[in-house]
Amino acid sequence: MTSFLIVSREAPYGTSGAREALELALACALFDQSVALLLLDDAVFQLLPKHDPQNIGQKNLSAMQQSLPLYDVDKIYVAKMSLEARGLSAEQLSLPVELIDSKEMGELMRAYDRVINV
Amino acid sequence: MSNTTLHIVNKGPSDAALMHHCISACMPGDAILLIENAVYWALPAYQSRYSELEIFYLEADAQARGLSDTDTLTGIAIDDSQFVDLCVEHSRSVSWS
Repeated sequence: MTSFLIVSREAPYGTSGAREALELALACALFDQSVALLLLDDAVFQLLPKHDPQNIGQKNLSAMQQSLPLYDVDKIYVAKMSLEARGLSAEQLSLPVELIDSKEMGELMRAYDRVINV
Repeated sequence: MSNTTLHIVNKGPSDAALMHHCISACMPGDAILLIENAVYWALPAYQSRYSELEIFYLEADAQARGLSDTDTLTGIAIDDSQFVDLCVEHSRSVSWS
């Protein structure tokens, strides 16, 4: 089994980056690989609750996100600095996350066989 | 009509330099319109940057992203037809993207 860390820096809508990161995470999980997500910069907005993108003609990402724990993608790391810079806290997010310091990022990446920036 | 500019921004806080340029370019009477991922700039964490600036944001884009607690957001929520009105009311529009 290979372990994957998927890194996303994009907000949930406006580009396809967030969806692609999620699809990749779920695909890895489907093939029984160990997978975790790391959300940096505007990607921390992906986990704000109450998405309602109907009026901008995009599909809601929430359902896909909420399925992550079911597929055993239960580690979601969030950059503490990115979250705090946006005036947010982990309690406001729609899934349990683990906050990491920028100093811990290198160590985190070393814990995975493959690191993919989406 | 006075000589004013509507500044339209569509990138979120990951692209902080873009908003910085936009704010620097704002003259008295100008307005900033936040669209697409730029609606995150309406969050309380960024409020202090906009003193004396007129801020608008597209309601559909905010709602899409779960920013529905409008009391806490900076600026005035507008729809597409008000977007058109804003463009007409200003002498020019600048798209920062």
